[in-house]
Amino acid sequence: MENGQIVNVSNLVKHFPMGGDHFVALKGIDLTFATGEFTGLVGPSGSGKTTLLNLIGGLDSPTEGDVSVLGMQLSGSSHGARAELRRSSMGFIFQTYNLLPVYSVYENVEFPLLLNNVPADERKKLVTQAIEWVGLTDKMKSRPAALSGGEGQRTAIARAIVKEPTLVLADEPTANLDAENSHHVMKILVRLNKELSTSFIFATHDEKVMGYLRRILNLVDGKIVKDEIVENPEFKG
Amino acid sequence: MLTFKLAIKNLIGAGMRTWLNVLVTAISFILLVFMTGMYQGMDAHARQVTIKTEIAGGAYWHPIYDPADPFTLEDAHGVPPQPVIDLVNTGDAMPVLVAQASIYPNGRVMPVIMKGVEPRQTIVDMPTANLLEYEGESIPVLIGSGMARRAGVNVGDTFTIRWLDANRTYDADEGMVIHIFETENIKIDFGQIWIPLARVQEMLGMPGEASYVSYGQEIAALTETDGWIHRDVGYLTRDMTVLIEAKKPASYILFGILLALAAMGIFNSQVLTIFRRHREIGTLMALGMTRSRVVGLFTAEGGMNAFFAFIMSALLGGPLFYWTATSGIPLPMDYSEMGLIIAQRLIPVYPFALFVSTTVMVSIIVLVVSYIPSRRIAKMKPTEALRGKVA
Repeated sequence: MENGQIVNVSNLVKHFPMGGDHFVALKGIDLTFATGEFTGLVGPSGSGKTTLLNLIGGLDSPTEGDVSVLGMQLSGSSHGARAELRRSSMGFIFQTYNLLPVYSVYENVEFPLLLNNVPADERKKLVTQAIEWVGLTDKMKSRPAALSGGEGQRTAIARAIVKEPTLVLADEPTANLDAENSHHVMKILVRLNKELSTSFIFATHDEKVMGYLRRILNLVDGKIVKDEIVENPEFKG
Repeated sequence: MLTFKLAIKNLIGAGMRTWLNVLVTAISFILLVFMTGMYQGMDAHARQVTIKTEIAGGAYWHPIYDPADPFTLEDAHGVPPQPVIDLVNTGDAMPVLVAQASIYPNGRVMPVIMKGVEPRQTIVDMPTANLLEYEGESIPVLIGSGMARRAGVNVGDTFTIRWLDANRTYDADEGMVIHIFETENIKIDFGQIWIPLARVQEMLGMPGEASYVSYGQEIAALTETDGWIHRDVGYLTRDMTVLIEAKKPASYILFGILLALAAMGIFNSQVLTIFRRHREIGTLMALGMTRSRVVGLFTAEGGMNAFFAFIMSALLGGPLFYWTATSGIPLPMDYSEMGLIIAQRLIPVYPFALFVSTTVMVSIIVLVVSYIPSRRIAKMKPTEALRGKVA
């Protein structure tokens, strides 16, 4: 990592096949993200936000260009190496929460630690702490089906941050939440960003989320048209 | 280890869906064992009945005796060698004198094999002692119920018996049915009449002679037989062994069909599971599971499904296997008319090897049919899985 940069994107192009032709989702993106950022990729549907987030997360491969995350070049890396990077250093928050349906809240949050072979004692401590952070101590044994939308997304957040990753990628984390829950969730994420120095990259077009961001990258038709640093009162003090 | 823990957790967590899959696999397993047990029971029963009622421990044949060739019977007789006679004298063997004859029940002619047997014998399970109860002038005849039906005779009925004696002269006399016995062995029933040995020897003019001598099941084979041929149980049941071997492909086909049904059920449920759980698969990959590990997880779930199915098979099938193996299954019809040695109560046989081989085979099939659809996961892109697209 150079100069505290955790993500470095250069000349990133992504095509998707569409019929006999292809759709260009990203058109030569150059970007860097530093440690501890709270950044949003903002833009209308089809602008390439989720595609860029997936490429940073190593969930997809670019057509051209390079993505380097935490010092690892993703373009030429194997599936296994990218999985290892996600397992050890990244957290994901999805629009539809994507909780494992047969596991309880506790088990869902515990899952990334199991994958990382964290010892049982430490696992218990970390899971309990993560669930406390998101305020779901009374729902530990509940299954996802028994949770409200806000509780489901808070569980997903606890799962994303339980291993205290360096980078969390959140794809439309508030899209399925009402205003109250959206603010609640964002406040939790801001607090985690402050306390754990975890970097957050959001893909969103939700105005409520934008109110919490410190850096906003506007994407239109696969290009970054604006990159602005925002003075956000949530981060003062 | 984690993969297995997760597989168990996923299966138990899936509740009813898991248990329905397990039930279907268990039913297939039970059917596989039950059907194979039935087949083996039929074979074992036929062999057991034949040994008990006809073969005993084996036999010494007159050098030219060949039961499959009636033309040899005329000359296939002689005084057995002394060591064999010694066995007869101690009650450990019974001589049988065989000849072709004709009977004339109800005015029609029927060719038969006439067999002289010692009424006091205890070597085979036949009610020959009934022949001792008759003290009249006619030839006492013991026949099986199948023969009685075909000849249209009952106990006390008489018919003419005609035979060719040692001097190649046709003789005839009146025979009387003394007893009709029930047997599952058609080979001692259809086309056979049983008469006291001494009487047959007298009728044929062959005193002290026999065509073969059967010996008891516990008796060791003799080394000195003076030209008489020793036939062991293996030889005497060879036609049955051939028949059983000939039936095997049919049983394999049935076994294969049942196995295929079980495999298709598991394959289908596995494909459906992967289709339904694409988002979960994408999530697992996003959380850092490698594709091979996800494939391993789903294959392990299939394997655990089989393991649960074996436990359920033991719980559901155990009492069924025990009950059928001890009480038997009553069959709806008498198969002896079809020339088959099949018990009226069929007792399936479930050897330990059957459970082991079925378990191994079902396990392999389950793992294969769990793995094949799971391989699709390896082709999935995490982003497509998360979006709900399946490769």
